[in-house]
Amino acid sequence: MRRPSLAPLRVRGFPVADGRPHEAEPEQLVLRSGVFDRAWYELQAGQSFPHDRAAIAHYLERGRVSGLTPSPLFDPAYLDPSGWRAVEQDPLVSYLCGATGDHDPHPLFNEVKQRARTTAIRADLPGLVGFFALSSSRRALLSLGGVSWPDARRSMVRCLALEPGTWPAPHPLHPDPDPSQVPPEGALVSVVLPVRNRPLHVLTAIASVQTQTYPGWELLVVDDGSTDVTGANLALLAAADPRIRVLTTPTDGPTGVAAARNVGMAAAKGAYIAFLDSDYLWEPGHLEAALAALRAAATSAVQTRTRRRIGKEWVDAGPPLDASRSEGRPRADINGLILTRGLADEAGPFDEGLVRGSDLDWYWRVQDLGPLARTDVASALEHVDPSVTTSLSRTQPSWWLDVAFAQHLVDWEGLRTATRQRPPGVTFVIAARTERGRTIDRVRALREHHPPKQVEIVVVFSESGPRAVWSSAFTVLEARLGATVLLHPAATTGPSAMTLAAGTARRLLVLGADAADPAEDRARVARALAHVEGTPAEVRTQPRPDTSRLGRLAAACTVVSAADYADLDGYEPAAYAGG
Amino acid sequence: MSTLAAFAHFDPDGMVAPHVERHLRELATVADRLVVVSTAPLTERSRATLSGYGRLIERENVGYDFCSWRAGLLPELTSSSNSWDRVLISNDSCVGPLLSYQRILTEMSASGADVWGVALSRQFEPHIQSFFVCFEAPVVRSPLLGAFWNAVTPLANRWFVVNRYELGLSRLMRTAGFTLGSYLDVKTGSQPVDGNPMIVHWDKALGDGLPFVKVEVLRDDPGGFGAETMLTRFEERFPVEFEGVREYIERTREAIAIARSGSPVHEETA
Repeated sequence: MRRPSLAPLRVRGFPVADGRPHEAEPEQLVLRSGVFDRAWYELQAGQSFPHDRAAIAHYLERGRVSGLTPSPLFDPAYLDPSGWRAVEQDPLVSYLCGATGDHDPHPLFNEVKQRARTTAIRADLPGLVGFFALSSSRRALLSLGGVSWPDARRSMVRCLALEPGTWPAPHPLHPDPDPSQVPPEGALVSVVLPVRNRPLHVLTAIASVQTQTYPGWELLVVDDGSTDVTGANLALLAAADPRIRVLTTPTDGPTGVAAARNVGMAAAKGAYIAFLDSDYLWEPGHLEAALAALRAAATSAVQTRTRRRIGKEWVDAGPPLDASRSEGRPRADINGLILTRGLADEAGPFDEGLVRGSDLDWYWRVQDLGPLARTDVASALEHVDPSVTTSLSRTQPSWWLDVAFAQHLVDWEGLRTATRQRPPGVTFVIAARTERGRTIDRVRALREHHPPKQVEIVVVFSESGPRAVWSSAFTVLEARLGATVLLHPAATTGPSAMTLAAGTARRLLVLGADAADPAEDRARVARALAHVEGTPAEVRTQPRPDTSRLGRLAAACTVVSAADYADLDGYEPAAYAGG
Repeated sequence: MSTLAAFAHFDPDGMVAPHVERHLRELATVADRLVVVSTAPLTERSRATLSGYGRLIERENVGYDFCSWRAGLLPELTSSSNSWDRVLISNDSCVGPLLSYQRILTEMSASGADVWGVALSRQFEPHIQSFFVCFEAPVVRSPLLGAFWNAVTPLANRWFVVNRYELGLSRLMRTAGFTLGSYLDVKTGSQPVDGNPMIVHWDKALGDGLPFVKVEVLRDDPGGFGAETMLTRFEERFPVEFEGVREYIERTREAIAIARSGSPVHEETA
């Protein structure tokens, strides 16, 4: 499930105009084309829209006659200098229908479409072309002496008369190794290791880099405001090994892991970038295996497998347990990721606004840019220390992960379309995190009162859990209890489980309580069934994102229409704030 | 070869049991500097006894043995005059050595292990049981050893200590490329076993396969081998080494039980 509006412009390209009039509704035509840039349009219109469809409707009804354009690379005046005076002759729809012949919609359209495909050429593209060529998605940030693409876009809107020649030159990309060739001998890998108050764990992480069989690395340890002996320990190790550089985040006090990784990336000199957390270690052959996989696959990024010890059990985060259940996305783990510097630059910095989950967000951004090679080597190992109480997973709520999940893995437009066509009925959603036995008991208890024809049950598991019991649990749930099983590629929260389920759910979604309480489960289902049957019941539909606290969704809004849920259009952190 | 040793001591009555004093006496024969770190409410007599074997540090009973070893080792390891070739840590949780320390050290030096102990447990992940660990020169020279002890702080419970420090120490050493070894494996070629090797292989101490016997094995009999049977056999085989052990077990049984229930009393680490 992918949001088409987030796909890179240069990848999607513009639609082919076949000269035939299309019968589709104009709004649908524009929506499917992917040409419409909502962020660009919002800047011009001076208002925000809840989703692409609303912005397109505004453009078609009012915006285009007011002179607003749907994309920075769509200029109606260039398309037809005689002007678009007739109200019914919308230039974008006309272009998409092929009615404008071979005319390009922008003077630079051909440059971008034809020339921006080659990495080597992109580096010297001038001015505006370079901007668009380097801007692979709305989240890409260009480093142009501190100017970012969102800033540049705003400037373009304000100064549409700006001469192309006055645009600053594009940022010179780091030389991108040709993936079809063997990495040059001794190609440097920059390893970025953020740390805060982990004086012992970081020693093991550093030692695992020092013992890599691949010798061409530099280690950038970024101390994010440690208040214990971590700094002293780092100084000890750095003094003994010139390949280790200790950096600090710029402000007094912690700035967060995203900022720390950005500091490391900015200081990196290598042709390749890798990341390592302080509670991970690499096996000695990690870099060597990863670079070999890069060569073999001729790509710019590779993901090794990871393992983590939970109690006595080692959990292997291998390939997707079942690609058909998890959309083919395995557990994202930045500790197993190695990529070229060029690709890292394209993905842009880590989002420092994401307190938790910035690694997931960045990882999925990299995935969006191109294929990841994968190895079967489980060479990144996480050792969970239960005595550490200050980790992000224990201090920050898990809904932060939902923000990244919603931005990258959810096709909100598709979801809205799908939910409006849902059959009547009730879908009960269980976000199963652990305790698979209890989950089975819970489903069994519901099935005693509600057969599958009456209530659909969807159970969402996380990819990061132990695998040994999964296959047997799936068999019981699906074959014997008539439930549907889905796999979540990250942590399973209530809202994200609902989102996964909404794509195929019946018209009403019911979220199970966090605590497995059969009586509460039955009560929620009863309320939903009463609503289906038209009996007035305590059904609360989803409040609008700008007024609701999504974190209370599971507790407060236990019954919601799938269509209303799809209208959420993503989770913004601000929606979780406030009362 | 210069050897630094740190010994962690605790006794609920502030005493120095005969088998503990014997251990210190043997340890002093191979240590150029012996630091005894006690968290016990020492009597004057005990204080004098312990001071006779080396430098005595008395500290509050918090943080289990790892914090005691840290107190004894860190000043030495971070000193500008640090030129130690070997560092040993041990505690009073076992009876022994049942053969000479010199013989133990000589045999293990020949094995080539960079860091070794009496037994290597495979529970959770391979780790040297911390009641006795020897760090050889390559480890002592590495900044990692001082950095490890620098990072030791009191933790809330015994499992946290085992997971972070006992498992973490071996994980760090192994990750850094140092070889790990154990006296038990060298002498007997023992195959990996489920569970604690000091429990499973208790009878190897009747020969020369194990130079120590855990008091816990004799007191609690976790393996179900028969506590009285084991103790009697050891008393018959090693009358000098086991003198006073029976009385010590009885004297401290209740205090150890209280400690395991959560009261702030010294806990054995391994």
